[in-house]
Amino acid sequence: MYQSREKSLKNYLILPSVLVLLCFLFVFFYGVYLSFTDLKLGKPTVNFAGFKNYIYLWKNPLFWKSTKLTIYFTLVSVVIQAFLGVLLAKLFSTKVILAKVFRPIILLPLVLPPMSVALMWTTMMNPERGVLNYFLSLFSIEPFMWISQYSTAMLSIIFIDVWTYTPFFTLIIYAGILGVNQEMKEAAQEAGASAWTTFWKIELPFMMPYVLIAAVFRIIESFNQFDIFIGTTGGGPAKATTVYSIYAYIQSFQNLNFGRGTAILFVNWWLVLIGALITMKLYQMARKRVS
Amino acid sequence: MKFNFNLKNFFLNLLILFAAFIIIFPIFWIFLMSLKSSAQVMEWPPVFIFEPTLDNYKVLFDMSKAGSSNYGTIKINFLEPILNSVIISGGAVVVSLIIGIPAGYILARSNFKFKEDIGFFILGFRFAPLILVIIPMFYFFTILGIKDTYFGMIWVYQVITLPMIIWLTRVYVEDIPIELEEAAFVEGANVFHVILKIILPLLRPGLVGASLLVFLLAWHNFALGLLLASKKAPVTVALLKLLNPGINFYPVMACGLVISMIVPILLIFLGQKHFVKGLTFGAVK
Amino acid sequence: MKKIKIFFSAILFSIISTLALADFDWKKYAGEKIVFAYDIHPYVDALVEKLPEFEALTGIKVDAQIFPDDVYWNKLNLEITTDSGAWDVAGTGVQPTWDTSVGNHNVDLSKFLNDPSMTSPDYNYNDIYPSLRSAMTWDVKGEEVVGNGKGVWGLPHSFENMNLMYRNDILGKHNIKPPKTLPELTATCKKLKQVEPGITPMALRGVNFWSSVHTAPASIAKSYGVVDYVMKDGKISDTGLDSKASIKFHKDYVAMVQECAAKSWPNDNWYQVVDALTSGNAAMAVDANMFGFWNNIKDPDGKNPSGKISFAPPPTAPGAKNFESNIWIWCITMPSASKKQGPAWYFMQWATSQKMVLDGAMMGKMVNPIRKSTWESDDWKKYANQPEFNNYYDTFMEVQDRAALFFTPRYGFGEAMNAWSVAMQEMVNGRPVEETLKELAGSIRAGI
Repeated sequence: MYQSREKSLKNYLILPSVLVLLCFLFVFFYGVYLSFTDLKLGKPTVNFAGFKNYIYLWKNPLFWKSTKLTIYFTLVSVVIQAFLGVLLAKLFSTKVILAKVFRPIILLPLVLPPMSVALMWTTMMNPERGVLNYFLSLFSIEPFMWISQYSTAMLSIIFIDVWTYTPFFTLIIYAGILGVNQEMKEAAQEAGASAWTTFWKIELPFMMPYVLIAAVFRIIESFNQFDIFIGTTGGGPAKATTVYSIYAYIQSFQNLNFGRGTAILFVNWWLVLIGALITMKLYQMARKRVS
Repeated sequence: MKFNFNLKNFFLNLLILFAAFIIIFPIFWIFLMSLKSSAQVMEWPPVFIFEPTLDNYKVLFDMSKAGSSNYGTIKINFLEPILNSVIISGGAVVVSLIIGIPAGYILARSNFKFKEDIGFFILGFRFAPLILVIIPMFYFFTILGIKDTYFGMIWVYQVITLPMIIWLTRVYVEDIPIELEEAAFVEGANVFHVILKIILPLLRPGLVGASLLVFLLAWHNFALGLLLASKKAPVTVALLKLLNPGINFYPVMACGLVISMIVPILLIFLGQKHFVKGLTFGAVK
Repeated sequence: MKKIKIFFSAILFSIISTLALADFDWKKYAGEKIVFAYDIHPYVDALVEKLPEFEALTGIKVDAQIFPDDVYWNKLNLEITTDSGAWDVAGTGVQPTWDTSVGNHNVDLSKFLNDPSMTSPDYNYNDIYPSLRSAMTWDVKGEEVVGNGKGVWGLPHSFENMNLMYRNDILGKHNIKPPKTLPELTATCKKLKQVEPGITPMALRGVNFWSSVHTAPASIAKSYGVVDYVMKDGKISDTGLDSKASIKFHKDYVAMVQECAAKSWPNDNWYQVVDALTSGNAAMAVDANMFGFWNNIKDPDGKNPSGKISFAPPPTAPGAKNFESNIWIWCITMPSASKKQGPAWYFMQWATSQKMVLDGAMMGKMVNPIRKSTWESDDWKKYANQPEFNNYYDTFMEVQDRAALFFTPRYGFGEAMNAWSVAMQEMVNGRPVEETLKELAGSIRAGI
């Protein structure tokens, strides 16, 4: 009796948080509502416009280009980060001296503000005076255009993203590696399995859940990535890096088309949802496989 | 045999050195840049050895006159954005802890009808593109008159900090055996007592890590401060102020970058262990 | 009798005129506080330095909030169009104000200008250059902007006309004369690359924002006969950006960019242009003329290339009779949501008064001055003709004759002109000129 009354009372502890988050939910719905209006900043009238904004996007080649760019950026970045993350995790978990010494620095790129990272790399990527091309020149490689050319801009931004967020994968996978059953590993090796087979058949499946859970986070953030893009190219050159967040920003704040901007972001939200759900499913499959 | 062993390790060490170089060099380079004069920054080939100067930092804190006289008295006073970042990020974390820890506890322990839905709802906040929130927020902030205030900023930062704190608390609490609390309840303790005296001390190491992580996420944020604050804008937004030839902008911007990065770096070295725990515990579960 | 009448009317007249001239009540709003927002710029530096004078004159306190360029324009749109009331006076430009005036978010200042109790008699509005005044005057009809109207939506504060600026030390060293046409400019760049391989021939803006097209492209395109919009019966009927003249201009311009500009052109904004010209990493620029002025100022620390920048009119189309120049006017406007319109107006007229404009010019900051009287004043003439400024004064006078706003008033300026800058990037990247312009024109046409 006493316990059940306590129970129902204490459930209200969750209320303040829920209230705070609810108002953001309300804001979210209001934003979605805006996408069904013809809101243009500055124009005196706002009317309900049904699906007009969405139809405009559907017919607009830039919207589809933006979709492709956003998905391309997310997939390529996350896959490369996952791959390198596994490599780095294995590398830094070895027993060599430098591994212990340098382990703390893995965190470094993660803790920097993405905006600062973007400005930092923009400086280094200057095609004529940047230090990156200087290093290339030491190996007699032609100056690379980095973010200044259409064909190389997106790759350069993926490079920046990989530099910044691979440590995230490394950290999480590293925590997972520590748990890999040492006995299983040794047993396999005694049975004559090579290091490669041990890795492929035993360690990797153990790592996969960690890789996938990290991937969920990164996929969400990559679909929403804004800071790195606005700090480097702002969507250029020639629309080469106009991902959803930038496209929406330009529509809303430069072109004053708030209705269209929120429509783009709503589509973005769906993309995130689908991407996250798919990866979660993969994660659950990998978990099952391990146990 | 011994020769072979050394070769493999040597090779591994080399790889690690290479990886470490890639990670550290950009930050080191920007740090160097902040100590150069404007002419040195633009030199080709880039200079690695030069006479360092603290002039650029002085300009940043308005301790010396900015750049060329033709652009005049551009005051930067970087101290203000730094303070803003500290107050807003710190304040956001504190508020999140106060209302988030109880919520996380409830999610971990209670069983009521919509529990999992609420849990997913809270997690789902990470999905939303921040800019989608900013546009309507701008209207509301104007109507409520809280634009460009610490109160408004700390409130809007809850989108970033609160879900993480709730979720991490839930995960940590689920790790704690429930017997301790049940014993306390049987002895007549109320729920606040249980949280404060029993749960909190056990959670502390994990929470320190979680708070650090969440503080960092708040510190990183750029878009919210860009559009919802003017004088109270955080340091990431203030970096844009440095893109101005009147202040020899390359080296001074490098100074701004160093400062915006140094607070997180210091925090990491201080709270390394906790941070990693916070990061991995939450994600691993 | 007649003599007495004349005598009395003379006394009456002098009494009335003295009463009218004296006693403009500068202290009417003493004790009030207003917020003034602006972009980081020497123009506002001049005002900020003189703020104590304003406070002493009027008793009004001014809170000056100054923002970085990348942030300011978007913030400006937000603050004014949402009628937030956070700002009482805001720095802006002509074109952005087209977008915001449509919803009546800006105050029509003619009501103040025509009110002798609100405007000091020695303000002399007509002393401001006619092209500047007319640029800020239009009518709002429904949701459209109609040029040549009566509404005054801002006061010019300071302005730019476009010059070809060049490093006379670099060009002089190789006996290169400043080019007169666009193809000549490209040829000059080729030559410069041979004799000075370590520098970029031309500093140019390229970012995907309309600020890249309103300097060099707009000025040079006009001499090719390019128009942004075609008018019919006083209304906008079509865009001119895919006309034959436009195709010819873009072909020449794109070729020039590919030959002359830095490799980082797509991400370069005005600060990179200024930095390149001042540091000598670029030999020429077509941009706002006061950049050259500022960097010619004798700087005690010796950081300025004082005396090394010379001026010339912008390049033209081959065979064109005249050069053309666009203008960019920084002006101050009053958001309608301001609750302190009286004090705000006092600030605005003080900031653009004859005294402040001359003072600001003599500080070397509010350049180019907006008033004819300033350019004719001996003080300014003497200052601006000092040897380190080379031919700044004369070139300004020469260009000012033909300087006019290239753009046609229209709501949606931002969207259309941003698209133009992106199209420019595409063409420089190699996309065929005709195809790109057709697509650009199509998207603009859809909105007309």
